[in-house]
Amino acid sequence: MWQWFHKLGSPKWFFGIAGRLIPWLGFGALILLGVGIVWGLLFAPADYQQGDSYRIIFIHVPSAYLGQSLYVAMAVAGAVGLIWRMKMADTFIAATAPVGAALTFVALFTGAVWGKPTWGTWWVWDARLTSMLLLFFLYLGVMALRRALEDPENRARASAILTLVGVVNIPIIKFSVEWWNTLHQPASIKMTEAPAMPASMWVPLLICAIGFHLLAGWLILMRMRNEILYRERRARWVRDWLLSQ
Amino acid sequence: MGDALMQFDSLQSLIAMNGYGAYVWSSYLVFLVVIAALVLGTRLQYRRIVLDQQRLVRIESRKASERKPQNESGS
Repeated sequence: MWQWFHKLGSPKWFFGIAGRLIPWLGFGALILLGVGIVWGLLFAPADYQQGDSYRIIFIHVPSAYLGQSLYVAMAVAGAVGLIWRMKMADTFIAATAPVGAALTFVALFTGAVWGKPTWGTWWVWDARLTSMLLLFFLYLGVMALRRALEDPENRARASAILTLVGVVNIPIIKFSVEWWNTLHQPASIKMTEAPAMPASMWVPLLICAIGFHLLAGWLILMRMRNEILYRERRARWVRDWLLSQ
Repeated sequence: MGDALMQFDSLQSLIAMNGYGAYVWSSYLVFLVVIAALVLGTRLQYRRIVLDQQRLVRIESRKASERKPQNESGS
C-alpha cells in the first residue's frame, strides 16, 4: 500500500502508466458513450410523464454526478497535498478543475433545457440549482486562483485550501432535494434501493455513466501528463522523452 | 436491435421527438461542443508544452556542443 502510494508520487512512474492507460480509456469512453447515447435516444422507451424530454437524462445525470465527484476527488487530493506535500496531488487538481467545470456546466445547461418543458422555467433559485451553480463557480475559482498565483508552492497550498473549503457544498447539493422544497426531483437511482425506472431506461443510463467516467479519466490523465512534462521539464528523463518524440 | 424496439419510425420523428426535439438535441449538441473544446484544449496544451520544451532542449544541446567543438569524433 505504501509502496503504491510512493510510486503514485513519482511523476516519471505516473507519466508512463498514464501513457499506457490513455488509449484504453479513450477507446472505452467512445464505445460506451456511443452505445449508451444511441440506446438512450433511439431505443429506450419514452417516459410516461415527461415523454421524450426525459432523454436529456442520459447526459444530465452522469455529468452532474461527475461534476460533484470530481470536486470531492480534488478535495481529497488537496488534503493529501497539504499533509504529505505530494506534488502529484497538485498536478491532479490542475488537470481536473477544467474537466469538472466543463461537466458541471453541461449539467447546468442540460438541466435548464430540461426544466423548461418539465417545470415551465429555465431556472429557479432553489437549493439544488443554486448549490450546483456555486459548484461551477468554485471550479472557476480554483482555475482563476491557479492563474493568479505564480509561485508553485503558494499556488498548490491555496488551491488545496480552496478545494477543501468548497467541498462543504457537495453534501448541500446532494441533500438539497431532501432538506428543502425544490422543483428538482429526488434521485431516481440510489445505491441502496432498486431503481425507480425500468431496466430499458437505467441500463443505458448506467452505460452512459461509466462512459462519462472513462471520458473524464481520459481527459484528466492527458492533462496530468501535460502538467508533468511542464513541471519536470528540467529532469533528465523528460528531456530524453522530448527528444525521442 | 430490431425495428420494433426503435422508438421512432422515421428520421423526421426522431428529430421532432414529439415536440421535445429542440430541448433534447440542443442538450446533446452543447455536451458535444463542450467535450470537443476540452479535447482540443488538452491537445493544444500538449503541443505547446512539447514544442516549447523541444526547442529549448535543442538550443541548449547546440550551445553545449559549441562550447566543446573539439568533440567531433562522436564517441
